[in-house]
Parts: sequence; structure tokens; C-alpha cells
Amino acid sequence: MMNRRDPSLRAEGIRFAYPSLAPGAPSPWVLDGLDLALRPGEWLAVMGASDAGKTTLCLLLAGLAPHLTGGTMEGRVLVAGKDTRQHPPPALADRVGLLFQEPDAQLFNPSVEAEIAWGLENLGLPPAEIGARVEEMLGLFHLEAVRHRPPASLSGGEKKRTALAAILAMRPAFLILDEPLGGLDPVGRREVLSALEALRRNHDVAILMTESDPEAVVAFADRVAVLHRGRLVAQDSPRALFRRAAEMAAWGVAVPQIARLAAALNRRLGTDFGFLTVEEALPQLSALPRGQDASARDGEPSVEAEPDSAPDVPALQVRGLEFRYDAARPVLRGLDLDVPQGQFVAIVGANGSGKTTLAKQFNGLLRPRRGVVRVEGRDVADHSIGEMARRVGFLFQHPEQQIFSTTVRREVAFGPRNLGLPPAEVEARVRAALNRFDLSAVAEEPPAILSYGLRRRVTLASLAAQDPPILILDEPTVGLDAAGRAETFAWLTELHAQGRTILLISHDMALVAAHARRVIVLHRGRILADGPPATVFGDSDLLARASLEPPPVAVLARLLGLPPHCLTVDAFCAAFIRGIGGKVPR
Amino acid sequence: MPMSQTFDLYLPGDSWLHRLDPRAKLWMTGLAVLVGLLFRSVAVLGGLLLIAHVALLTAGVPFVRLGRLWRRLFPLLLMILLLQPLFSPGGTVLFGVGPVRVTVGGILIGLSFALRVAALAFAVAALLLTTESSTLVRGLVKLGLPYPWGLTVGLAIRYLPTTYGLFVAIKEAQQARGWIVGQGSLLRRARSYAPILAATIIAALRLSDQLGLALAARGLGYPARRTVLHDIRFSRADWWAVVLSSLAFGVLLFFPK
Repeated sequence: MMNRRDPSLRAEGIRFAYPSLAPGAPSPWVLDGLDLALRPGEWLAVMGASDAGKTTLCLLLAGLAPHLTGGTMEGRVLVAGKDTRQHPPPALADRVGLLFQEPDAQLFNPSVEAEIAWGLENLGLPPAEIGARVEEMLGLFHLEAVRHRPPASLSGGEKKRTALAAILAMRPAFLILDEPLGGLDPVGRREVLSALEALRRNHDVAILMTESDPEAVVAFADRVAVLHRGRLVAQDSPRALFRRAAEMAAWGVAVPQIARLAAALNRRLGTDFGFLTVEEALPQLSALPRGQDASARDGEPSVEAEPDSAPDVPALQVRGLEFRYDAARPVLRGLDLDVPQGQFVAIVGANGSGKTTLAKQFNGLLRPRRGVVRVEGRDVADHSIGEMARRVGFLFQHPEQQIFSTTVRREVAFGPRNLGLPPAEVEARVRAALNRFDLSAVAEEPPAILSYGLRRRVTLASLAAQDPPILILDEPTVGLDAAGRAETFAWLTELHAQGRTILLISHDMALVAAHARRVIVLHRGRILADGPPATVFGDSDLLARASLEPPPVAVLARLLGLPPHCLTVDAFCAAFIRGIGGKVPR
Repeated sequence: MPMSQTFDLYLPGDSWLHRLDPRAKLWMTGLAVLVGLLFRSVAVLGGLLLIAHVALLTAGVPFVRLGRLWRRLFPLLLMILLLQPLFSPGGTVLFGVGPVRVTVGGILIGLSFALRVAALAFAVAALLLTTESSTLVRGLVKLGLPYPWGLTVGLAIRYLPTTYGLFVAIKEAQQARGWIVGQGSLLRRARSYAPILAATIIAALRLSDQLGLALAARGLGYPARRTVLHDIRFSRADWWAVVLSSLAFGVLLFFPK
């Protein structure tokens, strides 16, 4: 059965544990009895919650673990018959390629061209051959224009394409992509998706990708394997798996929004829809006879008419704000903005539109070149960052990188202690925050050794303990799995209900559409649009101009002529079912 | 991000100096550094400084860039010019304040010291402003430096800005949590950086762990003799540069130090 000529990439009975961090402490199995085969030419997606062991699986399949990571391994991995234990990682480099999540850690050459050539130089190929392959990759991934640029200066999408080109140039039989779309803005996402499309069309390489974005999985994967706590719990076609919405949710795996819509309609109408994309759903749904007035505005919820009891002083106020890092590149070009207290506002826009730069004005990390920024009526210019920290809480991108304390408890106490609160108050807040985020069990452990998901929770607890009246969150859901995203937004909803003002910066349009009461579109340092989600997401020209994509359900609603507030699965269902008269004709 | 530029001094271009082989440039810079260290003569050091400027300007390096370097050097040069005469007396006394005497010889020594520092700085700048760090490393590897060492130097240069970017992001995040950075007494100020440095080191270690994996995954240490796409070649111009600079150095050795 273990044929030495077997051309696939095969994991047999894999168990793996990282080296123990504290002497004597047992180290848990990250992968716990796993069999998997990647056959030549197939495209397999591995999905799972953030602590499921996806990245570890990638490292094992590429032969990097346990050689370079240390740790205990049972079972074996065969790369086309070669046991990775007997072949050190560099010797497998021409057979199996790995695209890492973190672009900065894999782009280390002075130019894009040199980056692609580097691996080929290691293989000792003749320069003419290297040159030819570099040209081929530059063409395939549309990188000709940036070939001489240092990779560090590229956009997120360009970086991922460069890293992909550098690996594919080595012509591996197996390509492993660890979250290829992770952390990209909508523009970068589209770039990488079309790069993957080019890869699929032009290259006969077997691909295993871990991906938390279900829409991408639907677009590419022949087969999906679900990893849950180190074990494979399901393997099937995307269509079959995404119909098992309840199980997928229990495993922490996101399901395409359109598949969730199918499930919701099936539940309420007793239908048997199995569509996964807008293109599949449109003919099936428009075939149902609908009443004349499906687009009537009667059922529109009244959420937009928020109680106007907000106090007179706005939480955040901006007048004529201009900012630039250097003279050649103005970042903010004259902004005016009022955010009433207690509002839940989302700022959306492509990378470089000025979102983070704007957010940093509200606690004085950046100071305006012109104009005024006021927080609760106070001019930020007159206050230090430390003073502003009492009023404005901030969650930066990659908050898990900012952790430094020796225990989780101290990390969470850092903020409230800096505010000079009395010790009893600090302790009470810390205890409440640890409980809220279910961290009490690890309170005395060093946060640096916790899993990614837990470290993210520590950062949320830290912000909760600081308990500011205004919260600014910069891409809080990047890198989070379905459960983590739901948890973050449940907390934000709680805070909103308590009257906190929330300013959310996010590319996650489905979440923005579902939670924010107001959406501000930034484009090249100016406000392009400002209004309730239904208005903003209903304007496709506007979104295209700002390089944004509405959530799939909103696209489908527009194509079906449903009212513009149908931005979520629930709103869509309600309006659609009303439109067809409450039931499906037999 | 404002700090996305590299720490590399390199100014892209295609001048005669850019086109010279890095080994030839290393040789010339080495000779210039030797001259700078061996000679105290104001004329020789001044000449060296002039040559470095001519080389930089003919290589298309803009005045502004040279001005910036001068501004950076200025405090150091001023300190040498002011303090050196006080500590190395000699020759005619110009004036004295208490036990301190300012002499003509002291001023001359100060001038030669300042010129030496400036000449060395500009000689090295002529190399770094016209040679990409990777090309320099490639030259060093060709001269016998083992490839992993050369790679290490290249990686250090590459990841300086990344690490600095991490440091800035972490500092801002800590400040936003009410941590006050860089205020108060020297000790307080130094201490205020402790949590920022701790987080930066943890993040940098994670990054370097991943980098190690990426290097192996792309075949560093593959059992084959490493080749290079664009190899550097010693051309006739490089030989001329080496020969002429060596001759000039040889002649100079006959002059008084």
C-alpha cells in the first residue's frame, strides 16, 4: 500500500507536538492522528478554526517540521514517495513549495526579480534557465512593472504575487498555500484571486490551501478537508460540505454568505436550495413568481432613524483636517466629520485611502497639519496621548504583536494601571475582562506562548479593561476565524448597546453591513460617501470608484430588485419571503 | 507608512561609478580609508575629500544629498574643531584662558582631524550611495566570504526597516493604552521603553523564526552548487580603476604624512 512510486503528497497517521516551552510541562498534540493525501493536479482546501493546526499541517507537509521546528512527530509524510524524515527541507525545495502567511518573512531580496531568481540560484540552475523562468513568472503574475522594486515597498497583493512567483518558479509538484488571501484589502484580494486563476489554468501543480475565506474556497477547491483540534473531521466537495452549515459553524468554519442564505431560505420555506454563489442563486430565485411589489419599501426596518437623544457635543469632530507624512503625498485632504456619542460608525476604503491616518488623529498619535480634531468637545491639540487614552481606546492592526507582559493578568492590567486608577478598581476591571473573554484559566500564563486565537482575546480583554467611552478598532477581524469574528462583534454590539461610541475600520463588508449604523467611504484622503449602510452599499458606481465590493447578499438583492436594506441574510430572507407571498408555490 | 523606505543609502543610477564592479569599488574605498588613516596632512586629506565629492557628483548624486550628509556630520565636525585644539597644544600660543591655551598647532590638528572624518565619511558614502547592498554582498562573496555570511549581512540590512516599523507600531499601541514614553528623567525615559522593546523583541523573534523556515523552503542549502542570475564581471574599466588608484596611492606614499 505504501508504494514508493506513489506520486501524491501523503500524510499517514500524523501526530505532532511542538517542543514544550516550560521544562516538565507536557506539550499538547497540535495534530492528533491525521491521514491526508494530495493527489497530482488536484486542488484541496483545508479549513478549520484558528487553533485547528492548519499552519502546522502546512509545515509538516512541506517537510519543514519537525526538522526546523523541533517537537515530537509520529507517523510519516511522503512527498512523492520520499519520507520527509530522511530528506532535509532544502532537498525537498524543488518538489514542494510553501507560501507562508506572513509576506514580510518570505521576501528578503532587494528586487522582485532577484526574489524570484533566489530559489533557482539555490538549485544551481544555469543562469539562462533562471532568466527564462523569471520572465515566465513575471508575465504569469503581471509583475513586469515592479520587477526592479524592493518587495518591501510593494502593496499587499503584489507581495503575495511575488512570493507565489518565487515558489512556483522552482516548479514544485506540490504547492502549499497558507491563507493566501489573509490580511489583504479588496484590491489585493482580487489580484491574488486572479493570480490563483492563472495558476489553475496554466500549471499542472497539485495545490493544498488553507483558507478561511469560503468564497475563495468555492471558487477554487475540488475538495475541502475540515480540520478540528488536530483531526480531520470531514472531507467532501465544497457543495456538499457547505450544506452542513450547523456542523461547519461548530467547527469554527465560515460558510459562504450565499450558502447561509440557502440554508435560511430552506429552513423557512422548506425548499432544497443548494447554491453557493450569486451566479447560481440568481436563476433559481428569480424563477419563483413574485408579487408586483417585491421592491416596495414598506418592510424597511426603522434602524436608520436612530433615537436622536444624543447629547449636543459630538464624540468625535473633525473640521478641515489635512495631513501628510511628506510634502509629495498628502494623505488627508480636507475632512469634515461629526460622530455623535453612542454611534456605531464604520470607515471603509482601499488601502492608502487614509483610514488609519484619520483614526490616529483622535488620540494625538498624529497631529493635523491643518484643521481641528475634537474629542468630546476638547481639542486634541491641547492634550497629550496619555490624556487622550482615558477617552479613546484603540485596537491597532496585529494587536497580538503588541503583547509584552509576563502574564495575561498583567497584560490586561497594563492599560487601567496607566490611567492611574486605584488598585481595587484596576483589579475589578481586570477580573471582569478576564471573565468576559474566558481567560481566567490562563491568567497567570505568559501571553507570548498562547495560541493566536487566545492572544487576540487577550488584546480584546485589555481594551475592555481600559473601558473608554470611545473605541477605535483598526481591522479587528483580520486573521480571525468565524468564531473569533462572531465573538468580536458580539462584544462590539454589547458596547454599542451600553452607549459607547464605536469607530470601526474594516474591509469585512458583510460585518460592516450587518453591524454599523453609518458607513463612511474614504477615497484618497477625502470622504466620498457618508450614510446608512443601505444607501452606501446600494450605490455600485460609488463602491467601484472606491475599489470596494458589497457583500454577496447585497449584490444578489440588487439583481433581484429587492429593497436596498437587504444587506444581511436575515434582511434578505424577510424581504424575499414577503415578495413571494410567504411560500413557494408547489 | 512613512517608514517604509529602506535604510539602504543606495541611490539608483547608471553612472560610471554605479557600473564599476563592487570589488573594484571596495578596493578603491579601502585605499581611500588607508590614506585617511595614514595621513595627517591637511592638503592630502582635503584632496581626498575633493576627489570623493567629484566622484559623487559625476555619478549623478544630487547636491541636496551631499548637503544632507554634511549636515549630519556638522555637529561632530564642530565638536572636533572646537575641542581638539584644547587637548593637543603645540606651536605658537594664540590666547589662553586659565590653564587652557589655544595654539596654531592645536588648530591645525583640529582641522586635520575634522578633514579626516569628513574625507572618510564621503569616501565610504561614494561606495554606499552607488552600490546596492546586495551587489556589495555579492562582491564580498566573490572575494571569498562564505555565501551564508553574505546572506546574513544582506538580511540584516533588509530587516532593519521592518524591525523599526514594528517598533513604531508597538510604541504607538502602548501609548494609546496610556503608557507615557520618553518623558521625565533619563532613567524614567529609558525605563519607559522597556515594554516596547520587549514586545518588539518577541515580534522580531517570531519573524526570524519564520524567515528561517522560508529560507529552507526555498532551498537554502540545496545539495547543488549555487549559481547566480546576474553575475558580476570584472571588466577592463574595473582593471583600470584598480591600477590607477593603486598607482596614485603608491605615489602618495612618498609624500610627507
